[in-house]
Amino acid sequence: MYPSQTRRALAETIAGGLGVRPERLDWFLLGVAGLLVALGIAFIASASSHGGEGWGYAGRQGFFLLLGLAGFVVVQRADYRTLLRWSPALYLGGLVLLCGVFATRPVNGARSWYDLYFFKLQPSELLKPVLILTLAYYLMYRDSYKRLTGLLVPLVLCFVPMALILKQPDLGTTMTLVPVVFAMLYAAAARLWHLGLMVLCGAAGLTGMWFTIMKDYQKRRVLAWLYPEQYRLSEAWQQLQAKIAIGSGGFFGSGWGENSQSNLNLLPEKHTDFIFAVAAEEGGFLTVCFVVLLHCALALSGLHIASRTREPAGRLIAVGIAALLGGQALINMSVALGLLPTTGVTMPFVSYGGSSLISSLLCLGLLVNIGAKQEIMLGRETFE
Amino acid sequence: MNWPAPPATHAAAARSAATTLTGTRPAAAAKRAGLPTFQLRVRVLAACFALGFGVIAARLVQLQLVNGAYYREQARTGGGVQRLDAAPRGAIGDRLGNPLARDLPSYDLAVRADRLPFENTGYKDLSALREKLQARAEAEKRALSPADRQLLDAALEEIRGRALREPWVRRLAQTIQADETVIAAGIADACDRIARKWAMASAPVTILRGIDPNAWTMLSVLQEDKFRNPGPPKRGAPAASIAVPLEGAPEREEPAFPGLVCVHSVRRAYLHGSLASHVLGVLGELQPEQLDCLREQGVLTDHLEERRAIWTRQRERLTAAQAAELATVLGADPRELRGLGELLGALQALDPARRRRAAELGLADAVRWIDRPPRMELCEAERIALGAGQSRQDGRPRGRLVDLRLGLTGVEAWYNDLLRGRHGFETFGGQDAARLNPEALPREGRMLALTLNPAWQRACERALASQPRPAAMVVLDCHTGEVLAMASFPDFDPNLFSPPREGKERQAALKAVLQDPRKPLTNRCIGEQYPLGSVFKPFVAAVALEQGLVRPGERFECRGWVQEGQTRFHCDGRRAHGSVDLREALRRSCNVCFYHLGARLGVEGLAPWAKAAGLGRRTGLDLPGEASGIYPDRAWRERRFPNSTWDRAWSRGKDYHLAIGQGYMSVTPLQAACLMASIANGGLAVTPRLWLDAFAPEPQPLGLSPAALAVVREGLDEAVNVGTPGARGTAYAPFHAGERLAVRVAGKTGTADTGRENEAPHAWFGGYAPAQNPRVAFVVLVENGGHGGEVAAPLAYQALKEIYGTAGGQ
Repeated sequence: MYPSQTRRALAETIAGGLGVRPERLDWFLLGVAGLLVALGIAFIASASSHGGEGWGYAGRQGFFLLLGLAGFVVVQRADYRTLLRWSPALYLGGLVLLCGVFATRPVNGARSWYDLYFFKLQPSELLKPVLILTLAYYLMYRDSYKRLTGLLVPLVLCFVPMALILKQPDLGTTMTLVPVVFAMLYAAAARLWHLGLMVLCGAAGLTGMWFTIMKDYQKRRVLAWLYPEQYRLSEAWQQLQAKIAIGSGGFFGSGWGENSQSNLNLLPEKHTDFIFAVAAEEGGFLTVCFVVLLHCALALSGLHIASRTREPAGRLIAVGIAALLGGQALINMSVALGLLPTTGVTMPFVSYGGSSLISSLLCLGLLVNIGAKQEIMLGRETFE
Repeated sequence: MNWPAPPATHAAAARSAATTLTGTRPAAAAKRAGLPTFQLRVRVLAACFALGFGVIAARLVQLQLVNGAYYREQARTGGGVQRLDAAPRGAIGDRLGNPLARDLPSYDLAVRADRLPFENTGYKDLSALREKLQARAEAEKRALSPADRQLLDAALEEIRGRALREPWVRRLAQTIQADETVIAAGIADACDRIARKWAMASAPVTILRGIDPNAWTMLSVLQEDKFRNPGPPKRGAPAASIAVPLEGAPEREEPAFPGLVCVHSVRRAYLHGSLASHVLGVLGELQPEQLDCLREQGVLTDHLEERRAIWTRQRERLTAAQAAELATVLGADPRELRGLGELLGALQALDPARRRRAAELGLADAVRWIDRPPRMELCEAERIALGAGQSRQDGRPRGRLVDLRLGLTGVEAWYNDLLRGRHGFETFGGQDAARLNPEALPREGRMLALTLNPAWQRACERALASQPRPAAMVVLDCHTGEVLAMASFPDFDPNLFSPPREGKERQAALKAVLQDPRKPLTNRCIGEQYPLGSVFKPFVAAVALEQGLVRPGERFECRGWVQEGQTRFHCDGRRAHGSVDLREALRRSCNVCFYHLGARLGVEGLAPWAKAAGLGRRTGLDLPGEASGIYPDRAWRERRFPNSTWDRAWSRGKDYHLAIGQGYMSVTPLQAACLMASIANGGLAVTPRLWLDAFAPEPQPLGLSPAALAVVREGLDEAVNVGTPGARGTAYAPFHAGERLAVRVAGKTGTADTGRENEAPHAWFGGYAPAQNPRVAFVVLVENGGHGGEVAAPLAYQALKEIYGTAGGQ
């Protein structure tokens, strides 16, 4: 068999498994996501290799990957519009799960997980694609969001889970939903000044929160971000160490497994929220730029799928997913680079964590699903 | 795959939505509506993301490419987060090797006042309350309000007030068998400290030092167990790893002794109290203010970088053959030595010939370094602790600075580098922590044996303390320059300074020392300079004899005064001595005779001799804070009076004054002792030193012949031992009034006018013993004591009596 034939056979097998014709499958997107996952496992392995965990984390991430792939295939094979129809039920189910989490025992002061013995389920992660579906389901029918009052329903739809997640407390996951909401509303042609108003209200709300419900540790994180030297041994520790790790990587990096900062447990959460710092130290500018490029490509090709899709719900879902994956990556990197206060946000596909990986793969499945349903486009649109 | 047909309603809905969104509406309509098309909006979103990722990339360029080197250094040192590992400081001993100062382990108890419970505000402890207030203040972007302060003060007051009533204080007092009030006072002290400086709130304040080690151990076990939080038990973890609370102990939330911290520390103990306090010196904490002070005094230098460069250069240049030969010269392989400090130490102990050889073998830079005045330098750990080279905020000391001590005065300062050894530092993370870094291990300081003879030192101090005035006494080995005793009165107990800040009594004693107008901290033997008075005469006589300006038997007619211009220059007490020769002039301290000698010699004629004998410059004793004294030669006058020709000009009268050790000239008691040593040892200038192992330069001949010196020494012998009525030696009375000494002493009294009205002259007595075969030279000075023969000489007698004993029990 010639190599080209092998390749074709392989492509047909994969595409067949996903129920799509190979030429319909967004190979680029799959390749980007695959690379990110592979890099992620490599960095998780090196980040945890000296912590006495051996390959444990990487192995478990592999297991999560299998779970996630299963979810990916399911979502990809299903008709996303069926999912769309189910989204209110999924949404309510998600809310129930989010409420149920308050009955669990807190871990690190937060109630965010269900302990399922083989992995810890984080309902807020799973709620992300569900929320996108729900928002799209709501928005695709109406044009009421062009009125200020019409924005109320989608905002409430977002606000309820966000409030619940914030209550866990998990500021990071809440934050990742913000760009999703804005991008979807904007893409759905909400008026700009309405969105601007929302930003203002959000700012006012945050200010209000600062004085009312925000926890001391959250405030200190913000202060630590503003004045890292004053908090260098406490709140700013993580970020300073991350900066050192990233900066010391230089151009070529210290090499795989040569991460002094994280090996010595100087950098907490190195394999989850700060995997970017590990990548930057070991891989250097070269590798980490590649990671940034991959994430950028992921977000942009998500948006590209959105722009190619003529079906309104599909478009919105694609925009939402692009905003979720891209926004989350941006927030995660910004935190590691000290551009934002420390919040626990994972990097999609790369960070260790079952819920995060599965959720990201589900999103990817949706995206690929939408991208593959191109036959609905009958002719070239005379785009306005 | 086939796209399942959506239900009709959905299809319709989708169609209508599509219409609304972007789909079929003509472009013109969309533009009229002022809405960006979906495509455009998606592109805007894409641009936003591209921008976001661009910012990330730019930040990566900044961190990794532009500032990469900085962060790599930070990564090496773990971001500068290091804990100091203080080296044990070397002991200081006397010449017999008995320790005078050493580190002793100290089992201490401290309290963290912010952990102490109080009631009236409903907070667990002070730190909880303060955190709350602080957080509120920070959130409102303001400093603590007066009301907050009041709240804190009230809480502090309560803690202080409760201390005596607390049951745990009573329990603690019983456990360690201490007085409750002492503990309460310690708590009050801690409260005071917090009230002064809230930033120190969490720093433990030592309340008891040196408690019984067993009790200490028991307490520390108890406390640790109380404070340790085992956390939720891990699944599958063996049950044994779950900490079991001590039987009968209170609940975990309520530690048995709240806020109590067991501290294991060292204490610099000066074993003989104030003995040789000025020589030993004191330690201080490594603090920037202290450093500035030391830098000003020229004790501290910041040549570390330069030194390190030298060391690297030297080590790199060495060939194997050179290294091998150096190893034999130095007695140690230079490549094995760590750092230039040790190399210098090794070089310092070499004689000049071997040192020269070492220089030839490639250690020229290092040898040259030794010839600079040796001083204190900070070791790397200390610099890191101080955050040297960076702003204080950025410099990140994480060790307990209290652990780092620094010699501030005396031998502790001069040989700080040797005594300190090398502090280590534990790096938290960073590549340095990954491997064992031998450079980072602490290395014990070296023990120094001083030249002091403890018995003699004690004798001298006792003699000086028998009178009230500030006084100084130096005893030198007149052949080698070893300082056998160096006493300055009043003195102090160096233990007061280590540990600093503890207890009210110590505080009060320290205050008394610091505020005493007699300046007990000053080492008068080297730190102050005085007109020498008649003790200078033997030297003048020796030089005049050597130069042939006077014959040994030449007689001078003393009428009690000499006229020069309008001024009469008198003899002491305006007495006429009649016809005196040089010996008698020395014996009876005739000024007129020396006026003549002074006129014959002239200030510049005497200058080279004075210079050779070490007047007007530091002797080079290994103690900081040495004054140089003054010899008023032309160079000095030009420096001193750059604008006044009148002052610069010299006159016969000034020659007269110089010859009797008055006028501009001034010396430190140590310089006077060196002068006496030169006369006693046959005209060799010695360099005094305090470290027994320090390199001793060969005594340099002054060029005074034995014949000339013999005349002078006869005169000095007579001054002490001739009691002819009417022509008695000036120091005869004190040495022959009571018991005779077991040794024959020679010496010269001095009564030096201070030049100030209404001030008694300084009393001097300088001499040597035994008179025939001198071994030691000594000098006594009593500030504003009066007549040398009446005040200073008796003190010398008293000290010498204790040193040599009395003759055969007579």
